[in-house]
Amino acid sequence: MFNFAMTPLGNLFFGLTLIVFASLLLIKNERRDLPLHILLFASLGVIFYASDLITLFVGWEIMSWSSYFIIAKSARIETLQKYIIFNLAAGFALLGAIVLIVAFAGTTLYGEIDFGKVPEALRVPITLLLFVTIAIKSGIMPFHYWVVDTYEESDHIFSAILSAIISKAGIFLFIVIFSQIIGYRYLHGSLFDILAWLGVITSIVATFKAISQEELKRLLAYSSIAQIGYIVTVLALLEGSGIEAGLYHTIIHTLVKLLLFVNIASIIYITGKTKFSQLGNLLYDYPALFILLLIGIIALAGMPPLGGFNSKFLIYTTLLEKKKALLLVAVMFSSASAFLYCYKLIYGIYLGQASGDKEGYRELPMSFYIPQFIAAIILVLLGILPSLGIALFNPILGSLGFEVSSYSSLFELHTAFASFNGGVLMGLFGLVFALILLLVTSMRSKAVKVRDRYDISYCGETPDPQNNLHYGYGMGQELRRISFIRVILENSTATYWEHISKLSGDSSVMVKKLYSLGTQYIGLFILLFFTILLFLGVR
Amino acid sequence: MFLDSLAMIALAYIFGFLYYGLYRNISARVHGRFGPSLAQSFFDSIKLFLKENSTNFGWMFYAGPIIMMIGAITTLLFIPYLNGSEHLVGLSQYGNLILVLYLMVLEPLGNAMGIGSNGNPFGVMGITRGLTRLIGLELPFYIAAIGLMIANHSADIGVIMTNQSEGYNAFTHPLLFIGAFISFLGFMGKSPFDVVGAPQEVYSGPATEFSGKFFAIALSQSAIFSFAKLLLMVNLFLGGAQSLVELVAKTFVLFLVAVLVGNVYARFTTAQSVEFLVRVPTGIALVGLLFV
Amino acid sequence: MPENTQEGFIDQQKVLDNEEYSIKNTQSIIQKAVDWFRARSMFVLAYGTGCGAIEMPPIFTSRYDIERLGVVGVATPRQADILIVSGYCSYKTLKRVIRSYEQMNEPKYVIGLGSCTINGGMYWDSYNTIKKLDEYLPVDMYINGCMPRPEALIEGFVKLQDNIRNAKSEAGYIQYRENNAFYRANQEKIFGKNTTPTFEENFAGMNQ
Ligand code: SF4
Repeated sequence: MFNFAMTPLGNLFFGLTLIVFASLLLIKNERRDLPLHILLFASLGVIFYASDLITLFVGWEIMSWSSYFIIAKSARIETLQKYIIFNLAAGFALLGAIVLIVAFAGTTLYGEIDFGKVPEALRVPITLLLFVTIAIKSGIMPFHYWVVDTYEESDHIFSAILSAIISKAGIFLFIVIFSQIIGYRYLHGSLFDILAWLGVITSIVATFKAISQEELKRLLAYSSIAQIGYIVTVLALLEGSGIEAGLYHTIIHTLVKLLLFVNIASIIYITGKTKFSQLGNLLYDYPALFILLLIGIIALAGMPPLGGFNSKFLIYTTLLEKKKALLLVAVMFSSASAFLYCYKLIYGIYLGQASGDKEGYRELPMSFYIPQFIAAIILVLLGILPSLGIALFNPILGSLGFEVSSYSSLFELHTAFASFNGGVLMGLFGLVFALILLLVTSMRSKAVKVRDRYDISYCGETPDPQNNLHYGYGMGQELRRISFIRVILENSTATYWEHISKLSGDSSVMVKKLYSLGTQYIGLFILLFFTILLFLGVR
Repeated sequence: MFLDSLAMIALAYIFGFLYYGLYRNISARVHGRFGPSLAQSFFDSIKLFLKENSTNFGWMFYAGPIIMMIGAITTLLFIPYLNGSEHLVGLSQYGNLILVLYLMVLEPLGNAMGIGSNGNPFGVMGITRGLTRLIGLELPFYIAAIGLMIANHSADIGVIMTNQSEGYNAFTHPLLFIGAFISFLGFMGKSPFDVVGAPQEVYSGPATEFSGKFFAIALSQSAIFSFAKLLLMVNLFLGGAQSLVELVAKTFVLFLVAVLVGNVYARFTTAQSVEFLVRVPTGIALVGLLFV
Repeated sequence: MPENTQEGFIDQQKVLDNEEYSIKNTQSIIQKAVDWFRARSMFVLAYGTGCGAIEMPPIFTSRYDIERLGVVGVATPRQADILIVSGYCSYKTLKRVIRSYEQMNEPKYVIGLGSCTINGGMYWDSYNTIKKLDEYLPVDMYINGCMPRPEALIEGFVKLQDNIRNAKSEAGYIQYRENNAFYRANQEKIFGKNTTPTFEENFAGMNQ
């Protein structure tokens, strides 16, 4: 009944899952429900190693439900409703697609499915159903509605799992189902062009939304959406090099979000505060956490010399090769704007002046550092040896039937457009840093440390702790003065979904007369809808 | 290679300060003054290095100017000086245009880190203005770079430079050049895009707390960095240079235009500058991109 | 150091007359070079305290063009070498002036512009302005007149550059460092406990 196979792709994703779960389970957390976490872990294993569609679906559903129960411990009821409605819809869409495929191909095994047997007319609906599944799970617009609230309200450590691994299930599904099961030759390129643009628009909108957030975790949630937007865009090119770039970015994003979410969780653990406006100036109290977050945001922004640059570089060169100039412009625009939220993240927490007093801060257990250290070390390593990732992906590309890219040395990342040497880059950074540090310290001018944090030049005034000098939570507000950003910030899909929920609420009033059901049964309608679709399909 | 790189840095340092001196002189002439001596900026930086003490706000503040300097130097070393020469190439065979575009952001990052750690709200205000401006600033420049990369089918600066033997990119892709040039004006920090350090608005902006040797390093790196930016523009759009004399001539022409424009225009507000950059030069460059 | 009078007023004439203190021509070669650079490049924090402030901006204009001498205006005390106190200084302003002065990095010099900084000028009997700036901050160069013309200010700059280049007088910041207690005491006479953060004491609790 259930078939499994060890594939290189599954190995990669399962390896990431293992890193994330193993390092996170070390952190002591009374509120964690261990059996549910193990169930979630097992379901992820089932998804990544499944070799028939039914197993995949079963794993998918267990994943959704077990995370539902974990989230349910801390989230509000509205958030839970959002989560479950969207994820049920994703599950049903996946089921619909699977049933349609199996009905015509006659088998559920990955290797034996011949998508050519599916009639032309049904190929587009199947693709669209899969799009919906993927978009909901990875939070592509307009299906990202559930993501931010869920990330914000779930347990601080579990948010890391949600962002680092569970959002990647959609990416995994994309690669498996489109390149392995269906095969690119049966797909409509124009549909995927739309998906690519959806990915980019998602990332631009989410970037600006992230800048204007006041809560730590909401900012990270939007940033997560934005980053996955890139991955979907580059995968939707339907290219071997696109898969390579997408996988590279998947790895980087998993590590970065593991690092950032655990870092934020540590800060929340220490201070009990969750807003930029309440924090500030923790740099000299927690220098290690600061440096880890710095590594995280450098990788998140895609700056050299850390691993983040490699994946950005691959994404850009892939888009260049396909001559998707406008897509590339949009991607670059989004990643240039991302510097602002990266800076807001680090400034709001660690830099600037403290807002409020630092009393009642708790001691941070060492176990919080472990996941961050692991992620940071791998990120630095990938920065020095950029082709390590390529070496990892070559078997995957080979097993999926794509051309394998070659590399001469692990230090050098080579594409058709250009190449760069990570070792030289990191060496240069180290050398220049050492030389300039030497120069600066040996100078005649003595660096005199200020006696107090408030000894700043402030137009001759002497500010005191009562003056609010932290600029953290105001940052990003002034973006509203720029007209096109204001348009983005003031609109959201919430109105659209609220409209839909109102519509379904209205129609359920009619049904209520028969069955007296409440609005929370929207899932039923979605079920109904897909069953009808199923019927049409089978007929 | 080491000596080569050192020579590149030294040349950029000298030319950067010389150009800055020229900038002060030319602006003085525009105002109808004599202006300081050419080496005045150099004297200033030496004087700052020689201050008895410099205010320090902790190790991150100490590291900030150093990161800025790293940004300037690495950017410079990945751009070859001369067209088809074996000397003054630095590490350019190990890098490419995309890398350089990203390294150019390192300087604002170091700045932001150092200034954020001193807790002066004026500094951070300047930084936020700078990062906001960056949203608009990079867009036309990126579009132009993408256009050139697609046209040359390479992201190697050397290849783009040597491919211009028939005609400079500035003439074969004029729209891209115009777009990139406007954002180059912003990168040089001249009016009308000098929203970052605007003294009348945000005290001294990012430089508010920099003193003594830290300010000296910030000045030196900005000299090196502006020469690197001039170099990049010359390599991408003006066909590089065969000799140092030609290089100086070409960079000087670009620099002169930037200075004159800067002296004529008043400052945009931050929002205005982003909107202007996103509308006008981006539009021009996008049209240029379509031609590619 | 010549005797301080009872109010702590340093007799400038005595300083100038006294061989021991007025001229120190013992610069080493390196120190000479250092002093040359310091004289050649001056960043000015122009604190417009009194009505004499109106004579400061013209020196930057095309008519007087002080940038020729390497003098530039800066906005923040951190980068400034020279503080111009332009005229009378009310108690409230004095606090900010002292704060700015203490935030400047050494070497730093003070120029007192106008008669008011020397002896109170036409505010000699005012209840809320200081009379002798030298009691609170070490002044390196006085420019008298009410109000002095920009030419006088430029002359002052040239003199100060000469002083610095040839080490003609002990720089004020050294006096401020060494005789800090004297200046502190004078400042506290005005502000009481509510004074600016001091050199020795911790900042905390000083700014009630
Ligand atoms: S000296 Fe004269 S001009 Fe200057 S501040 Fe005093 S009263 Fe005003």
